[in-house]
Amino acid sequence: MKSSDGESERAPLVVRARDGDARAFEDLARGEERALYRHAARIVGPGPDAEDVVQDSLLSAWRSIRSFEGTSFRAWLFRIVTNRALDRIRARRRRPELPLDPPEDADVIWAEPAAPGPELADIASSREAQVIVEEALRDVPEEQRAALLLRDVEGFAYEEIALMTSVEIGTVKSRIHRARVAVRNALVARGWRGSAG
Amino acid sequence: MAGEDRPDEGTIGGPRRHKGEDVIDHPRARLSAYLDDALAPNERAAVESHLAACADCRRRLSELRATAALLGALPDIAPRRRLTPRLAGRPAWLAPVRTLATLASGLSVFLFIASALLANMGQLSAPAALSAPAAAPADGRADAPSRPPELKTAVPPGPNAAAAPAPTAAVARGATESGEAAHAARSPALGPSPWLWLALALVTGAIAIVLQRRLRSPL
Repeated sequence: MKSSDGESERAPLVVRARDGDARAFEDLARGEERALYRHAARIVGPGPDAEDVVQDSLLSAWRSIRSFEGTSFRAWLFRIVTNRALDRIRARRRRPELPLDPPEDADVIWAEPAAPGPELADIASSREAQVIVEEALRDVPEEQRAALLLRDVEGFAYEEIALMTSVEIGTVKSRIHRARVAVRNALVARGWRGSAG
Repeated sequence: MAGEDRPDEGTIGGPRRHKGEDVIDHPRARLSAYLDDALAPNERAAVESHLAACADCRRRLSELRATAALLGALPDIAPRRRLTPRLAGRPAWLAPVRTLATLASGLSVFLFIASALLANMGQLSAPAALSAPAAAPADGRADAPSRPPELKTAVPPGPNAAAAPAPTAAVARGATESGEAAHAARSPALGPSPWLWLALALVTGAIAIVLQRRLRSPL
């Protein structure tokens, strides 16, 4: 999983950063800034807003580095960026949408293809599919989108996502499933189908 | 209805099995968690046994798997600037030195104004004293050693008064620094030239501005 990649190599740097070594913190942050940016960009949209989110998050992480006591520094950074990005999106809205999460057992609608098309497994590298996925993500409610990105793009475990977003693990399961089905629906709407094999 | 549902088999989007009915209970709501290996062992076993018998759920699972793979393979989005704050490039001495440079700049401006004013006052209040020293530079450096007493009289009481009891020192001074001595005669209490204070004010001011910009910039 991506989330555990290099965590042990980072440990000495994390210790130094916690002791106030700014250079150690910079090394850690530089190693994650691209991933943090792509995550923020898919929540608030690419551009200066997402850049500000990451920059502010890293400054805030540095200021509160002593409060970091977890095992995954990467998860800690993603937690700060995710929450800032979600705050940014909520601040853009005049009225927050309520409720943010539908009940866990509310129906998820599975779209059905009008006609059988190519199998999903065959299109993973297709540019067209990537565009469809990016577009579909934009229509997914942000909490669900953040959870799905943390899972499928950044490789975090459900337990980590629950801690990062301060929700129950059942909510994480529901968010990831809903978001994934929404993206799947966008693909299936273009005629792609999974195989039953 | 709630009493009839089997609580551990939430069937989102699929037909629900009620007591006595033989409708297949599709575990669609758990397919994502199953895919991510996030189910409890008993739930996982239940989904597995269902999948073995249900082609529809296998197809949906494969769709979710392909969707997750597509998400994981999305091209990177790169920021247009560096996002990591430059923290190590900001040593602890930066702020105190900035403050000192600002104070030094202010002090230099004050000294520039004060010395310039004093120079003007000196010029206005001692027009008589001016005539002799004004002649000194005009006469040239070669003449200066031959006329030490004149130079001595040109120096009014003040900082140079100390030189009076030691004529030899005054001679040596007159020989090498006749121009400066004449200048000092006009401005009794200012030390170096006002322009030196101005230059110092500009240099320390520039240092303060540079340090301040470095302190302010997050990058």
